[in-house]
Amino acid sequence: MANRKRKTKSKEPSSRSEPGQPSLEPSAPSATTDPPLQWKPVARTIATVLILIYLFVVVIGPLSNPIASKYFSGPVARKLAPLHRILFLGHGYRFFGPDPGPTHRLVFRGVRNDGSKFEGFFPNRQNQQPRLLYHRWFMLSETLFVEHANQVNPDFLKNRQRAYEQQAARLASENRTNQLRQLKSDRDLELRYHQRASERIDLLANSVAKVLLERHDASSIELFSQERSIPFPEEVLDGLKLNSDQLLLPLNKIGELNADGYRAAKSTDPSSPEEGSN
Amino acid sequence: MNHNRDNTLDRPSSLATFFHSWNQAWNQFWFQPEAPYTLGLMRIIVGLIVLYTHFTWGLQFTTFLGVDGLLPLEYRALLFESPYAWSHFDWFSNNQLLLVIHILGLIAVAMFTLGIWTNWSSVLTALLIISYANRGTGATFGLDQISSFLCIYLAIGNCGGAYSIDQWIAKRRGAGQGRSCTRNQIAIRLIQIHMCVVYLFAAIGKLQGTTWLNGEAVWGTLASYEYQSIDMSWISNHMWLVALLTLGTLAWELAYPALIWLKLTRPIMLLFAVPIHLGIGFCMGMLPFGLVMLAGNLAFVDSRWISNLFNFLTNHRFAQKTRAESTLNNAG
Repeated sequence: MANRKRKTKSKEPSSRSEPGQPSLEPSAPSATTDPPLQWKPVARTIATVLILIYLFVVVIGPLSNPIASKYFSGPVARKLAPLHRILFLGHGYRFFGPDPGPTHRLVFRGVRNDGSKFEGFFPNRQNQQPRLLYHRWFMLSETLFVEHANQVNPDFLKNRQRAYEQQAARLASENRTNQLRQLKSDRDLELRYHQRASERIDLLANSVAKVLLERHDASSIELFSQERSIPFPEEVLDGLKLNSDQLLLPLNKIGELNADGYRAAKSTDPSSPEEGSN
Repeated sequence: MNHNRDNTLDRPSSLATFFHSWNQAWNQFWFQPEAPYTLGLMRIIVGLIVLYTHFTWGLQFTTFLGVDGLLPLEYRALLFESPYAWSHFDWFSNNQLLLVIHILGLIAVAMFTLGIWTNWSSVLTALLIISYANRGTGATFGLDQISSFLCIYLAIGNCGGAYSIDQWIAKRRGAGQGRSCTRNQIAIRLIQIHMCVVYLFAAIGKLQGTTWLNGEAVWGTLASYEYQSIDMSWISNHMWLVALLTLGTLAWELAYPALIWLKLTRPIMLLFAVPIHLGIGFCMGMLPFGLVMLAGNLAFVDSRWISNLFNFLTNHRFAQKTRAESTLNNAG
């Protein structure tokens, strides 16, 4: 068998039609015309195992991102996360899904060192070219929006903490240790999630603010996220332009940077509706 | 013995036949040696896109990726909570040095595109694009996701086996055309399956919304000012067309993972891929993304077809040149 394989292997180049020759093999595979396999069974078996593992890794990515099963794809994806990270896999591939939503831009306002005021926004197609570069700025403004939107109201967190303490006390008094353990674990995860989300937006917004501060030779700067809604077709038929200020929602403050450092906006910070257009 | 055969005795042999034919089909699918022409063409297209991607990163290199740039290194660590989201940017804290690496990276990608030392430059390009994509967390999108896995698979296959400087040198030394090999087949199959996974989950994501089903989603993409690169607002007067495009895109994405494998429907699926991805590319300002998706679709185009087309084009040019020369000679 091995000898036969070796013999056929040596014929391989000639059995394969060269480009441009009219005598091409038929596109439907058949046992008589296909070139012989080059790899030995052992190599094919090892490759098969690796391929199957790899394909599982590939599929688990979008199966766990953005929605994961708590009992299967979520835990499996966590185990496979190193491979996803190393190979830059693990994406959800939900392009324009579930719905193409409104877009978001980052508006900034500041005071220069000479006392003059400035403001701007990104993405800005006037000064961010070529288009791919503009798109990077666009994705950054979307990330800032998403990270900022992940923040939860501190009052909500306090209420959650109170509810958790009450439930934990009740479970402890009823000696339901398993449920109590599960509750604590879930609560730890929740707290960690909120804490990480808060750290992320502060870190990112601080970096963006620093770059803008330096670029404008400024002493202080405020960052806002601003949503642009999608117009109805009827509005556009009536003459509304896609870049109309009417489509811009009020500014939503993210934070500010000045000589004292970065300060994240509190949920009680006013966002100025009348300043919503730029 | 034959007259004693019954169904019970038949079963093992039919089971063995089943496994044998399954094994044959599996071997043919994954390990049948494949010519390098498809991968060679894909290398050029993906290489040009990656070259452009890297070039644009370079236009605001320090602003985005510098040590004190817009995207802090710690952001990725906090987001992924994993030390495996690696990037060479983590290893150097000097902007000048990073810029030098960036320029060297551009050279490596150019070599990959041209097919110079392709076995090495393809691996380097795959590593570079992953490194940049990880570093750019917060400003990356579908383009980076698709081009990174395409580069990985191109590095697995012998993508320098055709339409490359490597091949040109080999030919001058007397070697033949790029040979068929198993690596090429595995690379092609991995690209094909990964593209199906992408379209399948893109479709599943769309099914979770309402506008893809009520036929308004394409309006949402075309009427978004931040995305808009061609004014398509005239389409507001033709919402039937919007519905057709929306439902057509959804149906195409849903059907793709199945119908792309059938010989009869494959050309149709590929034909539809062109306007869909070029439409996204031109109307929404994401041409590199549209093109890289089309490059991924090339994996479904038969290597021999690409080779024949290339030969036809080069022979046509050669014939034209010969005709022009003979005309000149006659005139002389």
